Amino acid sequence: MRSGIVPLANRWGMHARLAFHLASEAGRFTCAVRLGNHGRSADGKEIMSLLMLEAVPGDELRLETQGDDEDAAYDALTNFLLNDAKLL
Amino acid sequence: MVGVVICAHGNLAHEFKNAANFITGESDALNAVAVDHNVEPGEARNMVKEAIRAADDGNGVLVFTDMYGGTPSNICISLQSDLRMEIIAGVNLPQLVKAVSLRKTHDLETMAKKLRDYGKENIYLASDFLRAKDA
Repeated sequence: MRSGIVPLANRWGMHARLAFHLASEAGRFTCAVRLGNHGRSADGKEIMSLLMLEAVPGDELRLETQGDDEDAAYDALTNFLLNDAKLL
Repeated sequence: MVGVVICAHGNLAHEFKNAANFITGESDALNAVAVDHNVEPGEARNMVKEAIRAADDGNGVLVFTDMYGGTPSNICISLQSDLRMEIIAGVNLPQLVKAVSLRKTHDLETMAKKLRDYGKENIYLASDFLRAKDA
């Protein structure tokens, strides 16, 4: 399993558009993807689960990937949260 | 891919489509058809039928209506024997956003059942969360 902390560095925190695209990005991989925030845990491939994290700008999300392509997923999702998320 | 049509009173179908498109960034996944009470019933039925036909690429169409028993829903139900379609009455935005993803990987019947349940599961009483935080 790969895991680490990734800050949510966008202006709005977790919102519907970001959650949809994050779930779509996670869905490209076969491994399990989970994100945590303040004791809550979400399925990274499920938009409504991600929205329930209630993450606000500056929250530090715990990203976990587990499965065959966990390294590729971890790197891609970290990049997404650090860069692409700012544009959504 | 399964086609998706939203059929509702007034501008509701188009506004649901606009909101879902904004979230998903996909502009061609959802189709909207309005049922306007200023239009003759026969004409309204033809418009809905044409919208559903146009959305079918051979894999069938999932139709979302706003309320079971309302005119949009009744029109769609009256068409069910003529067209390959499933109808979910009582659309919400989580269902539509999820439909954009599921239509790429699921058949019509499976998708319809999943989204019926998904819509129900994603209705929340927000104060429940506030109480949980305070506890």
